[in-house]
Amino acid sequence: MTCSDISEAVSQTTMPALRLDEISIVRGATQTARALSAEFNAGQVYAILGPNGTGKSSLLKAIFGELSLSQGRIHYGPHPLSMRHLASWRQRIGYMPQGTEIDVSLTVLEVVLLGKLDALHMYVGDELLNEALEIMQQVGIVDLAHRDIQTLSGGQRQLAMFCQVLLRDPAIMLLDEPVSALDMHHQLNLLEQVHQETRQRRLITITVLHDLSLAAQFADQVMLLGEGVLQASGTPHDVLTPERLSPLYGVAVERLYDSAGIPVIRPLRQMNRGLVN
Amino acid sequence: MDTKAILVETIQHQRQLESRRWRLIMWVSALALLALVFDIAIGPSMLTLDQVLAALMGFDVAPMTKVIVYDLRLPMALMALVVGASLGVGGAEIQTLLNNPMASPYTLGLAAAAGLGASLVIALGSFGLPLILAVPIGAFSMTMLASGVLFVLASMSRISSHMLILAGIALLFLFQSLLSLVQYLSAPEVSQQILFWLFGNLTKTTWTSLGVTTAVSVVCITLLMRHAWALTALRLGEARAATLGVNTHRLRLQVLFLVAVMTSVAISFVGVIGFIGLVAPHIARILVGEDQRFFVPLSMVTGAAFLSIASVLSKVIVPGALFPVGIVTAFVGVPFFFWIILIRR
Repeated sequence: MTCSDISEAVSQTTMPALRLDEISIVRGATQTARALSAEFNAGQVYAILGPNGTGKSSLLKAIFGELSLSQGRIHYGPHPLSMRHLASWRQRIGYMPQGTEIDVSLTVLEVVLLGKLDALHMYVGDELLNEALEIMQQVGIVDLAHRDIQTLSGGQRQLAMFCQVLLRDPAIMLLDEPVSALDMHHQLNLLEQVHQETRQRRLITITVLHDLSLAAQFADQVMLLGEGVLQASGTPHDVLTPERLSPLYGVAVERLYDSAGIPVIRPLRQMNRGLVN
Repeated sequence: MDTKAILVETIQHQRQLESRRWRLIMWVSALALLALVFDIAIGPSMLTLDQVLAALMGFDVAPMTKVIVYDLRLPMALMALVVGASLGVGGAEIQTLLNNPMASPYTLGLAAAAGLGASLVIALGSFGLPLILAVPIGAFSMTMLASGVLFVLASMSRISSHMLILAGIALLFLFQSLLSLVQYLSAPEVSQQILFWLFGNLTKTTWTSLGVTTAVSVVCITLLMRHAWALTALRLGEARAATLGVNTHRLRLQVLFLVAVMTSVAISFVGVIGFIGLVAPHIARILVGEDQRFFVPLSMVTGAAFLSIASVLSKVIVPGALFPVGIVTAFVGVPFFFWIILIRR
């Protein structure tokens, strides 16, 4: 039994799980999820994968209670998601939506502090500032604390929003493409933080990712969506096979392995294939 | 440097930043008070500074002097501060609410509605009420009607802030054309009277109107400050604010209501003074950013200073005469505004 297996076993007995039972989401005229069931356990990172427009973001929004379900239920432990108790449901969730556009004149520290909105008053005490700054130090942006958030790069803003989510001290972390604007170094840094925090704080982390290889490196479990239907779920190793990915994405895919034996998914140029054949 | 030291230093830096912002607010307040002194000292009656000071200190002065200082200049000068402050805060919160630095109570049609309400009373008569009371009541009622329409729109969750701005601009045009219609149908002297009200001036200020405006502004601004952090969060966008636990829908309605009441009362007593709601928050944003703990107080004192200075200028441009302050505000404000925008680049 490996270390992570033990912690998983512990988490299942002590922390509640997030369960989706046969949920369907209708957005306008299109159905973005159909009879989707899943269970998410504490201390695990789940990556939601799939082509554009298959309802990955909608799934996060539904878990957050922003999109209502046309069918099915969502539970966190014994607590059901209901629109009447939305505020207390959302209390547990740290949700980082897609996109990095911010056009407000605030310092990075102020933006991060907003994560603890309920604790903020006219005077913000040293204790809370320290808590925010410690997280920023850990993520590596403490030197940006007093910069105007508008002057930051998209990637730096993403790191700031991630600090905000951590400061909320959530039980469930929903990240919608958290590394879309980051360079290699920061992608690794942020996902490493996600991984560590998920383990240490026993979080349920669900993240939408586009890079399948990164998902293979950092996710404990992956869920592959296609047209709002769960195509497969399980460990990256089991799910991310060329047989599944090629038809879903509509491109030829090759699966390689890095030196640690983790799968690397590589799309192939159509032209190359033509030449080889 | 070890990690603890960095944190300590960053917190110190944060405290310095905070006290620098409070000092800025103090400086602008001092400017407003200075303008207030000039505003009391200067006037068409050409009293000397000695006479004004003597009257203020309660010395024995000519009854005429006493009346001018206590019943005309003092309430007018204080009204300039209060109205400026409430328009400054109103503009700041409307911009926050609509996520748009170009919005102000004026762009939402509130001022135009006040104008229409006032003109209707002036044109159709006041049903026995004294005009000095009836005109503000008419202006206020019409402004609340306009706010009511915006309120209903804002309460629909489908309506985005962009659509709310568009609706406000549409209302602005509607009220303006109705106002033109009233003027068109009125006799020339009535039309003249309406026009004079529209200019916006502080001359009709009484201790009562000053008291009402002050009380309403204090209550509304205090209530708005309770939402300071939620409003700061709102500027990250409604979706992000919701992720932080803000009930954006309820916040939108509460703030819209408070701003509408506050600015309606101010505009109803002094007429249309349009520019402050745009320029005061803009200056405040440049100086301290949009952390509402500092942004709102600075918008407030900047608006107060701005209107007070405009009031002083309205009296010194042509000595002995008194220009409507509404004209002076934009006249002085626009070049100043351009200057700020240009030096910022």
